[in-house]
Amino acid sequence: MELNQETVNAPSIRNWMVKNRDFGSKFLAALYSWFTVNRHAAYGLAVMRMASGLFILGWLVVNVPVASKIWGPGSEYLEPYRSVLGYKWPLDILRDAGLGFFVFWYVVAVVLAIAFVIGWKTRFVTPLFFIFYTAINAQNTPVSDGGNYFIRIMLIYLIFADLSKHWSVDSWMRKRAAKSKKEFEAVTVLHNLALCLVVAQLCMVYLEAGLYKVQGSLWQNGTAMYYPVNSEAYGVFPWLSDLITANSWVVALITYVTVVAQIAFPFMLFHKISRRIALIVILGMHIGIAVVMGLPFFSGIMASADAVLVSSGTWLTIQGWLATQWREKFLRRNPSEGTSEPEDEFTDRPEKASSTA
Amino acid sequence: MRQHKTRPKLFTVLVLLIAGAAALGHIGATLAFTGPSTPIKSSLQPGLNRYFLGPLDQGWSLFAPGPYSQDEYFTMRACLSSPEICAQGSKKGAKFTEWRDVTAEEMKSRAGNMFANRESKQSKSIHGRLWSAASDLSTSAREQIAKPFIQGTPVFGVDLSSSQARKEYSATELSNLRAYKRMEDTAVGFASLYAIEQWGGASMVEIKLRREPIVPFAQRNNDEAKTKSRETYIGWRDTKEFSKAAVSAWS
Repeated sequence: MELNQETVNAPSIRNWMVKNRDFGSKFLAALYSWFTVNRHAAYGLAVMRMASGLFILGWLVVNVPVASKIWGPGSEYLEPYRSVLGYKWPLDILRDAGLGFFVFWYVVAVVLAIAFVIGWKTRFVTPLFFIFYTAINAQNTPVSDGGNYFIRIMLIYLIFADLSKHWSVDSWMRKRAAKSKKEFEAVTVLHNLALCLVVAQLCMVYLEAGLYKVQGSLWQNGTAMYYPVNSEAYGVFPWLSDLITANSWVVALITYVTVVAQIAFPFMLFHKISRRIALIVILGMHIGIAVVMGLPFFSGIMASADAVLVSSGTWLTIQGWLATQWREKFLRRNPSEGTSEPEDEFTDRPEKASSTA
Repeated sequence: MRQHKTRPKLFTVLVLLIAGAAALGHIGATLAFTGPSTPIKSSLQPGLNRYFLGPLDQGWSLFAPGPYSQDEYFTMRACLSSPEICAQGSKKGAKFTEWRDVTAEEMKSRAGNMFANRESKQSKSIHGRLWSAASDLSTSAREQIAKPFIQGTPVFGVDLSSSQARKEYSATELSNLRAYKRMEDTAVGFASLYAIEQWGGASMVEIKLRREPIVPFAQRNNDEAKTKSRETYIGWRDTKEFSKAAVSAWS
């Protein structure tokens, strides 16, 4: 009798199936619930919006002195090349544009970048920003870098996301008017799908970049990092390049860490500890690329997308810490002020933590 | 995770199914497009290439499989006399400029400056694309591009969109020649505008692409180590004409 009882309780596929007879329906219910109940990673997406918007804004401003030459009428020499790239109206609107229209377009792009950063009317601003930014970029894709390609694709996904739920002018105005935002379920579904696309694209970029690297002999022998930083194009600070490539151990370590971090990235997202390690290593890699290789826009835009993988709780902790620092400094200067309760935004709690959060 | 207590709404389910399928299809297509050459990728062509034209275009083999390991220079010179005199050479009084390393000039603004503007990438990016288009050409076609094609004579001696070109070349050959010609026209256009900027204009330009490999890692501490540079030479071509707005942006 005891033996029979043990047989019934012993772990087996059959027993598991009996116990979890309604696994399929539970799984579907959980999936439906994940997509429809909460708009996940709303804080991470707000940080991505602000950071990537700032980088695009910086990119537009830095290039103002040469904009008409490289993207405006001066880029006419690229017509044989860009005629086959497949950009359709309105993304090819600048191809025949004169200086006046180009300047108008560029100024509007800058204004849209500012509106995107501060989170003003993002439902309308995001698609417009995508069109204005992409049309400029399409004029001269050869001078683009991976960051330009990446954010162009991300902006398509972000059109469907709720980017102004937190830390935005939109949310501030809603709170000021004491209005609660009505959230339609179908729109929540699109938001969460957009988030999935952002994370999937991010994982794909890192995984493929890593997998392509392991095929190269210089990545295999641990010296790949030495070459670009010693070229004229990517060795922006030759003294720094010499410093970090002087020791062969350092070169090999950076080369291997780059490859391992990129390939492991998607798999390290499954657990919160490994996810934090992955994000810290990848952030370090981006800072290195920005400074040593002189690619701040590429690195910054890639790193800004990583923000969606940081939990809402962590972002609120960071916000709280910054607020405390701010208040402490403010109080020291002006003890009579700054004792009021924090803004609603500061006490706002995250939505139910998402799987990405 | 909170459980949804109400019954699923039909509209929401439909949105989730349709948008979810579209998102999955898109990510699958992106994986196929950006990944290595596989039977799946081949079977999805040419639809895959069409889908990723324009705003969805992407590729993530960043610094891979081989890292960027050479310095690339776009060099050029121009003939400032009329096309007829230029065609007869310096003995007949044609005025030629010295060779100019456009990339080295553009790169000056990048040295020590993380935030250099994108003008510093113009000639280098043309170099990369033109070099690779020229590498796809046959040996005889590569010999041809080094010859002068001036005063309206088409490069390769034939209009590549004509029926005569279709008879002369196979489909693959013609595709490579056209891809090269597009990049050459772009490079000649760039050199024409550079000539306007530097000398007020020219009637012909000559281009030389130079690649200097980085000193190998093992020899990095040897100050006398040198590498052998390689060149792709594009013979004299007529300069391109541009709109007033384009010329004024470069003047």
